[in-house]
Amino acid sequence: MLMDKETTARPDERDVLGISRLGLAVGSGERATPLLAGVTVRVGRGETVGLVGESGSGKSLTARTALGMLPPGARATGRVTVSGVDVLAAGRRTLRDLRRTRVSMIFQDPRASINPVRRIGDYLTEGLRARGVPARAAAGQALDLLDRVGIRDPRAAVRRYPHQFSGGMLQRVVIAGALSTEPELLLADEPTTALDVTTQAEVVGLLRNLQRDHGTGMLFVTHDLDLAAAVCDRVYVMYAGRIVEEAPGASLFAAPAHPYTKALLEASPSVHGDKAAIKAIAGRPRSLAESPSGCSFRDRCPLAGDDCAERVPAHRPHGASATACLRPEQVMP
Amino acid sequence: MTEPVLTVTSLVKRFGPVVAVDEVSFELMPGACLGIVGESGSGKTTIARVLAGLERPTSGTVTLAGEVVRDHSRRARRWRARQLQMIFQDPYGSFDPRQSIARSIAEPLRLHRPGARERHRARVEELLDQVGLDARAGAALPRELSGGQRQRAAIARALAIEPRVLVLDEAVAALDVSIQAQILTLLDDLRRGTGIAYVFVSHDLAVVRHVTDTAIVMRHGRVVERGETGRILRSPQHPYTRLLLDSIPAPGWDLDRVARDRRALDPHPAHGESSCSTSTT
Amino acid sequence: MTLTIPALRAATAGRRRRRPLGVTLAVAFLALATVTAVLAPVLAPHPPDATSLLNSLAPPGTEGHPLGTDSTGRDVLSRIMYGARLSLLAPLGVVLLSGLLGTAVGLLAARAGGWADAVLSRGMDIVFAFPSLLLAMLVVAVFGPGLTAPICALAVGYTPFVGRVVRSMAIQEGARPYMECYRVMGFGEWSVALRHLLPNMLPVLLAQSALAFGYALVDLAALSYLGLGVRPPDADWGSMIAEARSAILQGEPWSGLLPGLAVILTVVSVNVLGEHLGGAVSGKQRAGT
Repeated sequence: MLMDKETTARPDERDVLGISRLGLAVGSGERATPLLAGVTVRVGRGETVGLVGESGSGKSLTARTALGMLPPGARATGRVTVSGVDVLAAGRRTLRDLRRTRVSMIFQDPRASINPVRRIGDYLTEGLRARGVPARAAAGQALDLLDRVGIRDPRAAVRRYPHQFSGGMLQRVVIAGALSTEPELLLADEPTTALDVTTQAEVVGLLRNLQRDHGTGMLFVTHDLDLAAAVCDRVYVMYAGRIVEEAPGASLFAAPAHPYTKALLEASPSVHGDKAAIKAIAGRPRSLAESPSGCSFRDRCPLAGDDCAERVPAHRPHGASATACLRPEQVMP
Repeated sequence: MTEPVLTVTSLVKRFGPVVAVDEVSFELMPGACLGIVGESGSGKTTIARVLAGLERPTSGTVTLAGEVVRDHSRRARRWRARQLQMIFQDPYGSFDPRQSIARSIAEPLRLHRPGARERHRARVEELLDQVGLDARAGAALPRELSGGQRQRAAIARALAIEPRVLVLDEAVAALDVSIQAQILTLLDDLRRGTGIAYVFVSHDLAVVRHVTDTAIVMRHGRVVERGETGRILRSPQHPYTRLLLDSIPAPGWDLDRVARDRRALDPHPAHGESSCSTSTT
Repeated sequence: MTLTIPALRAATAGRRRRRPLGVTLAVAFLALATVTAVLAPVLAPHPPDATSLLNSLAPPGTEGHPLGTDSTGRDVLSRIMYGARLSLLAPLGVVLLSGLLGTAVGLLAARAGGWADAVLSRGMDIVFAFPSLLLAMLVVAVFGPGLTAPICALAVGYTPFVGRVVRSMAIQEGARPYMECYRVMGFGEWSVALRHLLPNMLPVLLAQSALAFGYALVDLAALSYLGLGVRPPDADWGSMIAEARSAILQGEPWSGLLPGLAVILTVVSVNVLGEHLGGAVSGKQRAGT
């Protein structure tokens, strides 16, 4: 409880991303639909932080608020800062400057985020020119960027169109574009979900190397617990619009401290170790609006008791994790 | 010796100059489960579509229940439908958006198992129950159901015809992990209960390991490795299978090695990849 | 992302419940026109062809003739009511025929593909490029005046109007996964087309037909105005305007303006309704996918 108060009340000013007690709702009054509640996420400089959850958990929504992109008609409470800039209070101009210079976002489908009728070179120089880089210098930098993301023969590549690239190569181009502004924060929303497994490994490796070189903080949004645990320094697990567990990537598998994390691990088949039976979680993932009172997971949780319905459990330390569960000691790996 | 329920011999499928499937052969015994593993452009989905009769092979034969599938007459089409059914990846588009789930499930019944309306209704209820859906889900329109429920309904619809083989083309790829586990468990139970055989097409080695007994690994239309699934994953023989395994995220994931191995397999990735992007998945 | 969908759906549902005023008015007017057309013998105050030369060119508001009389003293209101029968029935015939033809040709082109599709599509383009009014006039020149020939001619002229939409929708809908599911289940192409494709296209077909109805009504009125359509003593709104030509020149425009107004209001109403139907369909498709 104490730790919880401290981390949420005064986010470290040096963090590139500080989301604290973020709440989000669409509509107003009685018909308001809550989307997120009490979401606290921080990303330090050069840190890779995973945000894991199933559909409806609100992981993408959370990442988008860092860019000031709220769903239409949504109202946010709490505080979101990017490198000390208050995003929720920021005006249009501040947000634009923020997106141009400090934060970049990579989406799942590279084809949807690149204008198909413009050349790759134009796509890359666009962002640079918007920052006031002269045309000639921008062209040079574009070549350099493509080279850095491992595209062979950048001179030919800048003259090509998006459809002439495979998905993996195009995602590299998108990453090059995202890095062109040398951001302090990179938001990666399922950046490898649309790619083949072997390509995924390469793109993740690329992201990690580039991020290390630049000291960029990265928020890695994914549905894949294994991927998050393998790539991220810290992982937040989201369920029904709330963070249910925060843990170092390395210890997530060994010692899950929330029943939902454990259930997710048991539900995903693995290629490693002995072939173990998978255990399905009853019911389906919920959104915040449909979730029960108290702990959102209690209607699917084997450990749930009457006290779970009373209030939303506060985050408490357990092992290496911070978990929003009343009885983390009963969650065995 | 029992006869295989499905035999594919030297199957070739070309789309213009592109060879999507190149000399692929495999057998499936009754009640068994064969995995077809590969990435996009490997030809795995094309094989599934040939099996389901959605594409005609350029050459090679498909033998179902001892009979070579040849012509595309009305009778042959229905006969094939009674032997083999397919579940698609997309649980959102698999149903007529205008019809209730129960009506959609009743349709193949009416075509393949003619009988009284009452009997059909009872059978639909039974099928829904078998896949874990209640009557309320049966009365719903497809868009009112979640992805997992729709995939259950698609399985119920395929089972209505009581086929001997079910082809599952990335059937759990679009589902959330917890829902995916439910569907995999359901598929397991159904196979044990009905003796149906599966062809399980997937890019996900972990899922394939969980579901299948034997598997083939495909790359650029060719089979690069085949055998018992456990053996393939324990001691992969082909470098591509090893690459696939190494590409799966795990603690201590060696990304640089994956990149190196991939480049070693594909000396000219620029050419290979740009042609992959235009071929079908 | 997924979370926003229920909220959005609630918002659009709220919008859909409130039907725009224009659509309500259009529906009301079309209902009124249909009722008067059907019940003309009961509702009309006078027989449509009862002349009274003493009472010719009476202005609207005259006792016993609320909309006045024409140059031969026939009651304008009664004639508009009776005229509605042919004025509405004939375009309906055009729409039904062209809808049937267009659906058949469109489905055939979409299902056949290849050269058959190319031939049918180019054929539709040629018919589309040919002014349907001119086509109707040519047919009248060959078969003589009357309504049957122009209705058939316009139906052929409007076939591409429906056919092209049906073709593109059938191709688009046919590529949806559920169509393949039916094929895998052993259903034949045509049975799937009739049982699933067509019902799903119906809303678009209705919208398209409403628009075609408006065009056909104007075309037929123009034919009648030119004396190529309805033959006296039958009357529709177009022929009424034609008969009022001399009266208009005499400075008594009522007997011509009022049937003209009926044409305009009907066409506008039908267009508003068609647009609404089309919009609702595209809205639903957006929500559905």
